Amino acid sequence: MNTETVPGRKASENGPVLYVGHLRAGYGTREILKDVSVTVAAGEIRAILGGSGSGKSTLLRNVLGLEKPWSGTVKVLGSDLSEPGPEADLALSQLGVLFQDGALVTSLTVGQNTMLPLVLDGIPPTGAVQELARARLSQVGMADAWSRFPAELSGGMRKRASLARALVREPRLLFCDEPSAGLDPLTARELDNLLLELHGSLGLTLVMVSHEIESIKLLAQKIVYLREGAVLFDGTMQDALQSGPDRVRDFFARCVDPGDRPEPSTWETIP
Amino acid sequence: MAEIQLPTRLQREWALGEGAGLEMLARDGDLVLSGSKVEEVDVLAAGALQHLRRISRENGHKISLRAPSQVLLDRLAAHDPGPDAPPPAATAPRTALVRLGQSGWDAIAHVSEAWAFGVAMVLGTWSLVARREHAWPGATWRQLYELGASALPVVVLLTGLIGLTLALLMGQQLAIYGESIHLATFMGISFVREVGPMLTAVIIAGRSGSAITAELASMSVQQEVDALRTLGAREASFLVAPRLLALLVAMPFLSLFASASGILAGLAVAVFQLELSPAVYFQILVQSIQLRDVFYTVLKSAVFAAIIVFIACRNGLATRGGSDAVGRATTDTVVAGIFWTVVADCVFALVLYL
Repeated sequence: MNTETVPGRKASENGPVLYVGHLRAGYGTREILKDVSVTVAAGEIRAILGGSGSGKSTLLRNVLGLEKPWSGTVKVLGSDLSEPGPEADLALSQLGVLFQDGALVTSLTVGQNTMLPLVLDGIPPTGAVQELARARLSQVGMADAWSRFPAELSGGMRKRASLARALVREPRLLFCDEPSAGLDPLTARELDNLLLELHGSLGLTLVMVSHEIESIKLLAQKIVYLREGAVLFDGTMQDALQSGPDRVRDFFARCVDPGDRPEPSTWETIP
Repeated sequence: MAEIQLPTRLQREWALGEGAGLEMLARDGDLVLSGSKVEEVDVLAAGALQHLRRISRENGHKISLRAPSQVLLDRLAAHDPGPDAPPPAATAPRTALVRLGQSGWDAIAHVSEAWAFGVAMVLGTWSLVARREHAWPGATWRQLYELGASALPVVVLLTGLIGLTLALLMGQQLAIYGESIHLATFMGISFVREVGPMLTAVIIAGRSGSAITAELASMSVQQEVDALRTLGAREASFLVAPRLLALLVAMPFLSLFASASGILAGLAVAVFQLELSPAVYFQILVQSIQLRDVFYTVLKSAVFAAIIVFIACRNGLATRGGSDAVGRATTDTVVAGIFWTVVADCVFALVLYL
């Protein structure tokens, strides 16, 4: 992609866009991630999956610097986002995040939300910025919603508006938290196709957390399968289907993580 | 060991009656349930049987089924509560000393966290003023309207009504001593120094403080604050600073309006009840108020504003969980906001007028 758009863009384009090394993390005293290592190269579409409670969201929060890791290394575009500073700011300016429910700022309209990333860089929301935001919104099919507030939109529309906001700075890296969760199948596929299209046209790296089998099959080239806070499988989609652990193949075959169903309690019987 | 014959139909009546009565036996010793004749087990009865098993095991006894029918076994399997939870690990009882240490540690953590938030609030506001960080254009003006200007009617009305009440009471007392003229002194000193700023602080803590917390808390709960962070915004300058600046400007004005409103209510009482002339009222009033008092009111109000915004934003941004957490945070803000402004007011009184 065009590197001149953001002045001072760093030349770390060859290294991995995302590197997670031996990450341990949790909340309070509860350990969620035990030892997670993931490397994502530029241009990949990587899905992080696993059953509920496997640590997918915790991993994403730690990667985005919203939680401080207990130990281990997290480098997004070469910098640790949980350490505020110019380096983290530079990395943040080159990534986009699509949150689960969109997470649009409710007091701003869709148009204002889309302009927000540039406004935060100190550019007034007029002229060029408006045009950029309009371009992104029409790219996601939301041009008509410019002056509507998030509360007036459906879940799918909020997600698409949020995607426009995530894309307005032409990021190199896009994180998606459950992109198709809560959407009807048709809207979910539309969003998937949109992501695929953007991956092709902008050349962005896509890291998505998901447990939607259809999305993953359609989008992901490589997957990381988390289970109980550790990586159970890390490899290409093809390997996962052919030679992955039983649990991973089960996941794709039956659309479920069987989890650990506890042994039934037995009643002692006497004749 | 007791042996019980289960009836053909295990239903609600059995579960709530006889079945519940068996608990005692299960607690006291081994129990055998003879279930060969069972043909029907409803959901409540299945639950009651599983409960008996748990009670029996918890008391170290054995419970068994004699020649159970297939229906009974199937129904028990369908409502299987899973293996018993492991007994909780025995924790050494915490001594008074340990508890004291723990609460001391918690208090230190709390204070240091509050300190960090305060520092971030000041730095964030400075960054916004110095244009190193950016909020949405016009955010401060919007807050100035929402937190300040739109509170003006209720502030003026309430302080006016309280002024009227106090003036009526005080006027009667003063009239007994033939000192009606000093109603102006009383109203001036009390409203400029104390009632105006204090009442304004209480109203603003309740009205604007709760509004700030409710808004920021629902933003936190809906990941909006997280999203802002990933966009490179600092919440201290994007969310806190516009509110702080707005209330720092608005509160002193609101307090002065409040004082004026109370004093004018006093004037009404002076004119219509005590039959003083407005000119005399104002003359005495001006003699009783010093410019210093007005300055202290402005200063006090600004401090109250900072306290309210600090508490409201901190509670809002620290909210985790669901909609119940939003409600709790809002309540905390109102209570803590009023409490700490009263404490600050007391400190001001000690420092300024002692």
